Amino acid sequence: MGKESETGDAAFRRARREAAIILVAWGVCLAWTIGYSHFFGYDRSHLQLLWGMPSWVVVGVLFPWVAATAFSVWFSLRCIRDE
Amino acid sequence: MNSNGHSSLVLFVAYTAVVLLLAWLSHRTLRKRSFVSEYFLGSRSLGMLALALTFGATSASAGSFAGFPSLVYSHGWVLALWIASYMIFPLCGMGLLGKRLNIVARRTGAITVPDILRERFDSPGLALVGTLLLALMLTVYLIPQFTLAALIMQQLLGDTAVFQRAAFVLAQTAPGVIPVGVGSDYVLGLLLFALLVIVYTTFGGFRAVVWTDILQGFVMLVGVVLMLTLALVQTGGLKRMTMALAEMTPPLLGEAVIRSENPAPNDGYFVPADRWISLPGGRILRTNQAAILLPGETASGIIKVVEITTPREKAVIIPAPLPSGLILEVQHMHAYASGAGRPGTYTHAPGPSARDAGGFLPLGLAVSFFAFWALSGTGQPGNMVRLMAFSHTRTLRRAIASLSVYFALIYFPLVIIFCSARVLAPGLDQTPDRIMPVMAFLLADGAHVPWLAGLLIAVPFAAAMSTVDSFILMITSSIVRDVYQRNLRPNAREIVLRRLSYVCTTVVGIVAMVGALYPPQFLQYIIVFTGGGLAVAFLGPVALGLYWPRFNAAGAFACMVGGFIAYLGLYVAGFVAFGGATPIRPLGLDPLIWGFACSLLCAVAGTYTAPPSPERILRTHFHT
Repeated sequence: MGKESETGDAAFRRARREAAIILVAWGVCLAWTIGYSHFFGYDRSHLQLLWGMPSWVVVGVLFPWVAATAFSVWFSLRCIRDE
Repeated sequence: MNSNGHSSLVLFVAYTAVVLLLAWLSHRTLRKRSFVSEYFLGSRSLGMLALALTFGATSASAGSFAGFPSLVYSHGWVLALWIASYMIFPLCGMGLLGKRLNIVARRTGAITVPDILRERFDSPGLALVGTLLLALMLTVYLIPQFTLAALIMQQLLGDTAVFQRAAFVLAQTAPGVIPVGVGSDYVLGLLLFALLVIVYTTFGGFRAVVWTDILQGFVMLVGVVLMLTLALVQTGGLKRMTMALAEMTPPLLGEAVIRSENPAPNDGYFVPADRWISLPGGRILRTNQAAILLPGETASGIIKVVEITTPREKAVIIPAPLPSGLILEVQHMHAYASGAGRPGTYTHAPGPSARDAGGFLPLGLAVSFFAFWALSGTGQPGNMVRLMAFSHTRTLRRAIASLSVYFALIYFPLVIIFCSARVLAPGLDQTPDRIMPVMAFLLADGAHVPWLAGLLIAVPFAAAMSTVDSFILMITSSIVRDVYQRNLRPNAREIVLRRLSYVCTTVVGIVAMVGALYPPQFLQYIIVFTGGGLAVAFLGPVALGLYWPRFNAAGAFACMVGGFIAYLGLYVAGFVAFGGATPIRPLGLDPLIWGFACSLLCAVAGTYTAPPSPERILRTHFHT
């Protein structure tokens, strides 16, 4: 297999870079959500409310959800290249 | 007929008319274009709205609006963590593969997922294995979807006189088609659903499926927004709802019979489900099933009951006395395995569980589900097909943005709605699958808008329909395109392909319907098992095939078969060890994770045992 075949054309390399960024974004969401929920969501000693919901749900799930949605919108509209 | 029943019937008739109109319009388009590309892929012309909503509606099966609400109701706020990876699902599901898959499909003329595998690896054998796996797993997947849809039809139309009369006539005239253990109303609901789906899918093909997905996507969104608003108004707001939930302790679950002092009269006794009954000692129970005493009998059959344990709830519930001479006799009660007697269990992880001492969502499972939804969704062949059908990368980009907002508006609110359901409708813990229609009627009645219930119950119906139609068409395309056209008759005439497609679509629908006549147990488990199995089998070969030039046919075959065997093996081992649908979970991780890991290892090992793909294939796939 030639060197050229291994690397592919520019469009292929762009698509691969975009896919890698998406995987990293998924990893960040996983780390935030599971990490925060592990430390604060599994502790039943007291209930803290934020906006009427358990605070671990708001910070551990809702915040990253909003952030992930904003990132998805920005990344898809601004960063993914038309081919 | 009550107003709820009347509004449901009007809604169903109107909905059916619109769906059939869309199928007719699609059929007109179909007659003007190349049949195979149009029937199975809509001539690759999906726009932004169509791509976003057909992707979203196909992903949101009946499980999203029947199974998921029942889980929220049973386990509380922890379901926000369980479903959390939907925050990134649109970006992963469409963005990881979308652009490359679409480009490659256009260059190679691929119409189905096995087509993609055949072209990339120059391997008819791999494509055939993929086709068989796809057709088998999707057919199994369809059966619980049909079952859930029939149950929803029962709830949607069960109150209408026309439906009740038709069910009665069916039971009288064709008792042979009604299997033991199901009622004629279930069979009628199944027949109606199957007839509608088969007709419009067969007649209209991919374009009709996409158009109805758009309609169904809007129905789902409107339904969720309405339910959220009504639920928050009726619970007094989020804070009051969460505080009430925090005080709750899991109920006791058990069985009971209704006894009569004297033999029942000629018309018997009927005690409806969901009745609150008080017992000596301040105990308050709710029946979860109707009890019937036939004439001359002094006891009903065993029914499921739930005993409330939260003091504040017991103080506000007003029990209804049983008819004179009847008493409730408890057979046995048992506490939850996890969370019993502990306030706060519904507002924290891992959530209460009736069966598992470790709670509903231990940390290992939380990690598994975060991987499950995003990666499993990316690996669904039904989603991949949609990514082959859009018109331009710009369409994909806008669809990702739209679907991200759409899912945020659907899934997190569902958690709030059905946490509210625990407060508004407690004591349904033995039959939580009914919570969606129960909430629909409760919220509509509470808002003094009874006709709204019909619209709200239509939400899970739309979700079931949008998944079923897509999967029927995928099975047809596997048979017609991948088996018949690519392997048996490469030069088959269009008229032959057309007729074969119509026949296959009809037959697949009928097979799934017949399977659902005998409703399987563990519906949600079958859905999870088949969805996971498809992802394990297809995500590796397709994703690596698109992004790794060195990946070859040997690697793809090892990846597909190795991952699937590992996944299946953990389920089979679980069946042998536990005797049920619970798989073995090494290190607390779901079989899907192990399946993906094994799939990757096999892919690498298999790839380096054989030479790379031919240069001409690499040029087609990785160069302009």
